[in-house]
Amino acid sequence: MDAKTVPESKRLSRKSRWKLFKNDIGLYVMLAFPLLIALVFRYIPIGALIISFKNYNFVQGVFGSPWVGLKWFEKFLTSAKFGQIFWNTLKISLYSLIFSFPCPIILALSLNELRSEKFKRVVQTASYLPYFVSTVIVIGMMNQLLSPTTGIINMIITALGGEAVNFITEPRWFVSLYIISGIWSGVGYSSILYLSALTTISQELYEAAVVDGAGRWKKMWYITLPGILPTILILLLMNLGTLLNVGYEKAYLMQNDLNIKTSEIIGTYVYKQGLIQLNYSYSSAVGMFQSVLNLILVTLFNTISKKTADISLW
Amino acid sequence: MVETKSMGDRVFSFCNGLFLTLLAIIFVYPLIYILSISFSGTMAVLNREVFLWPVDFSLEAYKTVFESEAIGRAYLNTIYYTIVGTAFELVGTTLLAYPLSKKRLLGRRTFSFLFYFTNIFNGGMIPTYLVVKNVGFVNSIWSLVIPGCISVYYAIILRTNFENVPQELEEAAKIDGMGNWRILLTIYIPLSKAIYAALTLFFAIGFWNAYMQPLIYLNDTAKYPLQIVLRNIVISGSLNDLSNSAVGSGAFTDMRTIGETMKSAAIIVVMVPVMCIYPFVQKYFVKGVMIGAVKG
Repeated sequence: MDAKTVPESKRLSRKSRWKLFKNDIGLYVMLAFPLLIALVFRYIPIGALIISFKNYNFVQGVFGSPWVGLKWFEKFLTSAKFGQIFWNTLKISLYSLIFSFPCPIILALSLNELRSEKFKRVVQTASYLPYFVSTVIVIGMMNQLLSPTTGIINMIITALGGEAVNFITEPRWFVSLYIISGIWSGVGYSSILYLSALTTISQELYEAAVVDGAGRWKKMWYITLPGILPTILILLLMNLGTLLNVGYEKAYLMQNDLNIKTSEIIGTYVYKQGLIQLNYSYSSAVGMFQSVLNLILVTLFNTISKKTADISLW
Repeated sequence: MVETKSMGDRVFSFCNGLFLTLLAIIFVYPLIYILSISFSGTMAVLNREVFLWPVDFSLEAYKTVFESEAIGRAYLNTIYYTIVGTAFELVGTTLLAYPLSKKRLLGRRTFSFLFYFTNIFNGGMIPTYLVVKNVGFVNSIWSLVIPGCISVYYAIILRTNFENVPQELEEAAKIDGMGNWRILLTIYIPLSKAIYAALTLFFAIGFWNAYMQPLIYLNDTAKYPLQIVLRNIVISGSLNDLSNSAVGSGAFTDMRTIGETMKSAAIIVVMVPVMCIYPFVQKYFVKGVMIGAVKG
């Protein structure tokens, strides 16, 4: 940080601070509303996490309910389901990282190689479209496309002499469907970040490379990729930090009795334990287990990248 | 590989073009398929005759959808939630972004961290639910609107945008005796039209597509938004307002009670508003994401 960005307030006396405050009272009034919202709906819930260490009941409330120590954490960690749920959650994250993460990079690089601006725009428009389609519709469409009786995928399979597969209820298909539908929804949107990074690469570099006799692959490998490497790294860092933060909305919508073995993740389990079974304390403890792991992961990866690459999220 | 340069070059271009064409088809095809099914005759769908365009053109499915009371009511609910929710989120996010864009704000770093922290750690579903319940918002629109009305992520984008407005404008306005509120309303917001267009789009789409929040906070089926009703039709295959909180279990048991054509028609009806505004706001959408990207 240069001297200019150091807040002026740091160098001011108490009196002039008061003056600064009084002159800009409007700004503080504005900030009061978001502060109130953050306090009530973000910070008080963090305080309310103490119910994870209590046996919460409606009558005695958050403060009155009796303490039970680590009972709920123990219950979760030693329950028969823990291994499966944790592994399901981790599996989705790891597979997303391996399969989904590179997709927008490939799309952006591929778009970047197009010479026709018009064609480029058509493909881009098509690629953003899925981002606006709600999760409910994505899963609804997927169910129709994959329907064993009328779905087009199974029509193709049977036409080729195969046997129709009931993808939606088959446990081993859950993760693949989750990942593939996620790529369909998000790849266009995510590619925008890389495309904007691509525009910052100097054209002179390419011209120089052509003079040196570099082909398109070489240009891509030695100029384009290094050019967007910082963007790739920061997005990778963000992904690693939120490794366990798997969105549960889609998993919940894809769940059914038959695929529950692979589709139950921490988020869906928290929802069902808490708001359907009404085991508030237990559900809160499971959620807290996940949030704390998340916090540790974010901090860990941020520290590593700060030390090694000087990239930091905060 | 690049022996005959122009040849390799052409092969590369051809393969790349083919790859992207295929991708574009994959992005759009599911939507076209659903659209065609929705306009097809039930028998044609069951006989697997529909691939790309409607077979036995029929509006039966749409008739059923439009006659459904549940869908009509849910449509109105969603419009209401979307308008009110978007308005509140725009106001909340502006009130957060603007003061933080001023370097002279006392405690700016502390405030920024306070808000940023809520992004990386929070109380989670149940503690938040209990707070919302205690405030008395459960089962009302406010449970969907108020707790989420400050979007920290978009506030960062908006703040960056405000910081890029030339300072001289503010100084001149101050000399004219304008206060902070008026400066925000008459100078900063009009100068940030593009970003506000993008934010409005993001927020509105978010409310239009919301499923989990309403499912958690609303328990009166008459207040359900479209996505919950749509889920019951498309995924569980039931038209009545059954409490769908009974887990995703019913998902395939009575798949055939509602025909594929009607499910498709329901999907199209829900998607139409989004698809109609999409072409007009696309450029703002890209802009919005890019501004976020610059800040990283």
